Amino acid sequence: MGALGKTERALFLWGCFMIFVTVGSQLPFDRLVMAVDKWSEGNKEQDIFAQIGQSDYSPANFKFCASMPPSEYNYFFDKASLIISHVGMGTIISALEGNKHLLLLPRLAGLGEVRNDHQLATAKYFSNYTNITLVNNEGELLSAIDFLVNHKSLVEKKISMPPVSDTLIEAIKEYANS
Amino acid sequence: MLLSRLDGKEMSQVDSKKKVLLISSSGGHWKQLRRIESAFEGFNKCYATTNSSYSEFVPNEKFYSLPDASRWNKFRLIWQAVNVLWLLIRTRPNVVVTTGASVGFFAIFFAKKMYMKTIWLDSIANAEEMSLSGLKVEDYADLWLTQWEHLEKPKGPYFYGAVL
Repeated sequence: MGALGKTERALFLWGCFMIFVTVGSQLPFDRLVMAVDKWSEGNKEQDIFAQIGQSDYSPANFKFCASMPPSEYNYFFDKASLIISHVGMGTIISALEGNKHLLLLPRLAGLGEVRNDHQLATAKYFSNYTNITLVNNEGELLSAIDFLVNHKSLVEKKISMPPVSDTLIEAIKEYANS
Repeated sequence: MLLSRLDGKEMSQVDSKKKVLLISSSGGHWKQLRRIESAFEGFNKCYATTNSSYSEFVPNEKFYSLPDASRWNKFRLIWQAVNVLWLLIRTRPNVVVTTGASVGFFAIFFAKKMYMKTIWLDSIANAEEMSLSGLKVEDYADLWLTQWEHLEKPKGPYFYGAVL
């Protein structure tokens, strides 16, 4: 199944609270997608669109695609109120830049979802951001989605993007120009 | 002969056309790379990543796409290395900067052999230890950086701050 057509995009736009699920472009993350699918089964009125990677699993309760070009990805990211994802830096930076609330489930090396457990470490360091909700398993994920869709003001709260470190830029600039 | 005919102003323009290659895999590495591009004000910028559609993000800059080797398949890695080497030969940058991963390692490795300046900024995702590529690049990165203060060591990697 491909990405959404124009009409479907427009429908996605009209809903007031949308969820975008994204697992990055490289590896599938079926554990996450299956859990959201399960939640969606009992909450069919909720608009969800998912980018699920090259996966054998097809969600039954919402539209999805394997991957999409950046422009389309940005479109869904912008329109969504809540982003459900793995602990990927791309997603985290995009969410901080775009003022989005993130619900993150770390990939685990033990389940073959990633090469090593760096997502667990990253998660620990980013869990103090107010726009990031971190969960440890599928059960917690289901409860967290329930909580977040029922506390929309929390999800829509604005945060500011932490700036790039000046000393880092200076160090690079100085070396590059030396 | 040509240079001797240029006046001072033109000479400085020639000088200022230093070239930087910003190279990384797609996704989070690329996002972080974009956040340090302001350090290269006044440079001619070339971008390279492992997803050809990312050219959309830098419509006004030179862009090169490279083969992906995200699953670390040996043959893909070799093919990627060959492509990175060819890219360096074609673009001849003065400075090569990367946030990872394998594509960044190859870029730093070859660039060092070709006497280019090399900068490795390890991804902020590596909060507990340097990435595999980040460790391997030690001898080839002139400026070898981590984004976590607790990972800094006396002989590198060094810490000057993070992209967020």
